[in-house]
Amino acid sequence: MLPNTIIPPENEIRMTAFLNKEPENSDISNLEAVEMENFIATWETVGTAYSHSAANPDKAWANLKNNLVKSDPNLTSRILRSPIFRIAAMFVLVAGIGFATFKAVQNPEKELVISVNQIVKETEIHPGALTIVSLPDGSQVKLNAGTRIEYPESFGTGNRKVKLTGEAFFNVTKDTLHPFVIETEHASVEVLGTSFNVSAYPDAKLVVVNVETGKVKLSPFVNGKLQANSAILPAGKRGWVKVEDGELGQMSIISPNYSAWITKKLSFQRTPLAEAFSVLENTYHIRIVMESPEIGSIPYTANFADLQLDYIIKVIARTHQLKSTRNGDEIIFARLKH
Amino acid sequence: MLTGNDTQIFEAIRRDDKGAYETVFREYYRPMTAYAFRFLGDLPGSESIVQDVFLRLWQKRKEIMITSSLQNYLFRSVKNLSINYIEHEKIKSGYQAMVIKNESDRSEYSEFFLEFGLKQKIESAIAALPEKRQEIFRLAREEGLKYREIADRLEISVKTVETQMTLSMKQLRESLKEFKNLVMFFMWTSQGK
Repeated sequence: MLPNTIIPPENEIRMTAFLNKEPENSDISNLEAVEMENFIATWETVGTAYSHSAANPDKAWANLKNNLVKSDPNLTSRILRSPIFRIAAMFVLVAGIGFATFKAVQNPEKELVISVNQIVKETEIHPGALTIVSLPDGSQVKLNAGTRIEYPESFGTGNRKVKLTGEAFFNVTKDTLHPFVIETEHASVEVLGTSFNVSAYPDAKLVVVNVETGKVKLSPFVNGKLQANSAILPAGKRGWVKVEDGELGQMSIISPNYSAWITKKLSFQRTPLAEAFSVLENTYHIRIVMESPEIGSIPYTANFADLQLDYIIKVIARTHQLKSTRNGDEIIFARLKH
Repeated sequence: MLTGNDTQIFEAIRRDDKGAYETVFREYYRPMTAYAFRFLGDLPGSESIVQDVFLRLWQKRKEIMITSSLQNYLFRSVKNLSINYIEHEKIKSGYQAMVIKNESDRSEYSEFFLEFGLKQKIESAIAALPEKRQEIFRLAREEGLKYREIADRLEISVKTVETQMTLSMKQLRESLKEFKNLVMFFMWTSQGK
């Protein structure tokens, strides 16, 4: 069995650091093999016990069955033979034309087997409620107005890839083996397991990513080609890609208004009204017009939480002697004439 | 362990027997995850690798040639995918290089088939660590966090993390010595040392 060696304390520190894959303090080249083996045994025993217990075979089996059905027509035939499913499948087919791509495969028993490859979800310009999409790996995506997201029915064994136009807030399930990649027209966002906001509207000058937790890698697409330069954005940072030339930039997140479209919490600290109006437009899905452009440079300070748009408009108008007129989804601000 | 009926079960899988496939899955899922964890030190990654191995097992069931045993095939697949992942992501640490080297002469996998009683004993040893020290240790061993990440998350210094980790390891070595005969014996015989 193992001899009972007394290990000097500085060696213990180095061994523990080594086992934890720390680069500093972990050169173990001149340590006694016997000392190391003892430590390794403990570290590995604990690791084996933990991973053995924490593994979830039931969830994994459900996941695996799902993946197998998608890739093996023989397994789908039993499910699809029931008449209800066949009818439902026909509706998917009709509704799906123009959006999703799919292939129809005939199996020997002459049942129509449809395997849908890509799913598309789109939101309207004036949505009634927040659209929340669950991806096949459990990741959750909240979609803002006028947003389109495309993702496969099942992620398979490569990267988890998703296409986005518009704006969405992502809560990504951690899976270090399968990086989560969001492709927008002008930028690529790669993550491990994090929560962050991506804004990639078709006519915007910038693609902007705000990272709440975790870490994200932002790279530009120029003429459809992924660029080598990238920005690693940790939590609390905001990064952007300039659509015009693929230029990258980043800064610390100063205001949480980027997620106001979800939280309905707005905070303005001497914020120019033009910017405040921009936030209101993105949050409440209306258009704001300024009759005279210098209204936009008025610095505005206020905090709003979960309030009706009309109330907020009234407060802004009153505070800065402005007149507001509402025409459906358009609001016009003008100077009050005395 | 299924080793006795191994060939029969694989033949059944080859003949599209989904029941046999599920039986193998449920028998080997935890031990294979524990084996992947030996390389990766990260649970979601380890479970992903095991999923991939089983996905391929079914998809290629008619093509696979098994020369040793189904068990060896499965564990070796886990090892290969794990090493590929480590090399591909260019994240290999000194510790991982050592694990990869040690695993090249492995002859059997019984140490990954832990029984409940043994797992309980190990879990109690960890639960016996003082609260803060235990938290730090779990973040390192279970979540796979580096010292810097732990320090940031708990708002303490890296030096503190280092000290606490070393104390945890010492304490655990002591508690695990009691059933060294059970645990370590497995580890030593399987390494062939």
